[in-house]
Amino acid sequence: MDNDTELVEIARNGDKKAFSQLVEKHKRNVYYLAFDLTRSREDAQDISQDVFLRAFRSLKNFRGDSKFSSWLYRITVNACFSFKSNKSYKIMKEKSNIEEMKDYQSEMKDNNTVNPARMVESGFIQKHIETALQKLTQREKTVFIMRNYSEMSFNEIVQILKLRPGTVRNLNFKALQKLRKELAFYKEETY
Amino acid sequence: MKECIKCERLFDKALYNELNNSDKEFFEQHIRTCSKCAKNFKELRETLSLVKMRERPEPDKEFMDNLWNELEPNLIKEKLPGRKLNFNLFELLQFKFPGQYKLAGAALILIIGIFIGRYWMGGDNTNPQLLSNNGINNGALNIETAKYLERSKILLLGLMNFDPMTEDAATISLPHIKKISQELVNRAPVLKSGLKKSSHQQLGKLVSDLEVILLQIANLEAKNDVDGIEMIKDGINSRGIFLKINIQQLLQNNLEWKNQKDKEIKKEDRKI
Repeated sequence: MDNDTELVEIARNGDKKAFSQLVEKHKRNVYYLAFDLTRSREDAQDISQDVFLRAFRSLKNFRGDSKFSSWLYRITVNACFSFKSNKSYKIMKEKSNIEEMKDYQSEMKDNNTVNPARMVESGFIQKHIETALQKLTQREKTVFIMRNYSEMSFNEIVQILKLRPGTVRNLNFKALQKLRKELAFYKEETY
Repeated sequence: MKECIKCERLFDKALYNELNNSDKEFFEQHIRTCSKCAKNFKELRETLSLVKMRERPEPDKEFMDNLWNELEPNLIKEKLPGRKLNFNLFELLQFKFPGQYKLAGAALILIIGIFIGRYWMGGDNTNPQLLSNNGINNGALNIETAKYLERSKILLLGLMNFDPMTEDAATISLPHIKKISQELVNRAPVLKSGLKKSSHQQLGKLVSDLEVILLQIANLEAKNDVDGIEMIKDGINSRGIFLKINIQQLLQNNLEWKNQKDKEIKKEDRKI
């Protein structure tokens, strides 16, 4: 029995101290996953709170088939999907912003002396990565973020999203191929 | 060409250093000799490094430090996770209420009952004899409607108790629920037309409401359709489906009881 399983068993009986230990242990990962999926600090904070409240309320439903952390991340992903007032998504979808990106892309194509380090500093590359990620489907984006930013293993993602291993790998690879196409104007010499 | 296809299939594992020894040997050898595959793989690897440059700012320290303090008061409002009901009816019954409260409570229940019967149910079932006397709404229709309501109620209860945020859809066997919902949807038109003819409009409306909800369930995606399930649950709550079903069932039980009593009285009359 790992530490989480023991704490869950105790917390099930209403022991808030045990639950506080679980919160303490997993809060950063839950926050980061929510942040990676929403790209909004405020939303990630709201979602983190919501996730732990839901988890506490539903501890009786946790059957221990998977790791507690996997169950928690599953709640996080679902909470992000159903989070209606996602400001960052709306902002990224605004026409003006996308047009700004297009102008920037054409500018980059004409410019062979791009310095990526400088671009990172200026925040342009960040915006461009965000725009490229927005073009992925929700499933592709979720799997890609979980694998490459939250650094979960493919097996863990399979458990969390309840998808087939092949599907998870395909979604991640498709996402990477799309991103490659979107970010193709960054010349290979430049990074 | 065949080797290129095989190599491309290994890109995914190669990117994450998950190749086994034999695949790794083949992959590295092929990449050394095939410039096209080498270029493709290089671009993918570089894209991966590029997107990993996405910033991940540190979370707000104040939020992290105070998360538990923010959560704790809300947990008090929550039910204890191991218990389903905090409300103990037995303890409540043992509590000795003052006499006037008892009377007021009984009167209130009576008034609510009358109000529901008169206003909420409209003209429906004001004369329960209609059910057996009008010739259209015969016993078979009553039995069918009662079965329909009971099956729908059980199915909806299962769905309402399911929390898609924390439970896997496999736990409620969604394909099976979808199948039953479709069966019930198929039965609804016959019941509706029978109830319409028998002037049981409220019951007919309830069957129509149920038909809409059951159709939504039947059209859910086979796997975790979290948003769909939440939407259906909202619909069930906002339409007060369970209250309507319970009232109809109470009325039907009352009617059966009356019919039985009538029969008993007739038998006694005959004896006399």
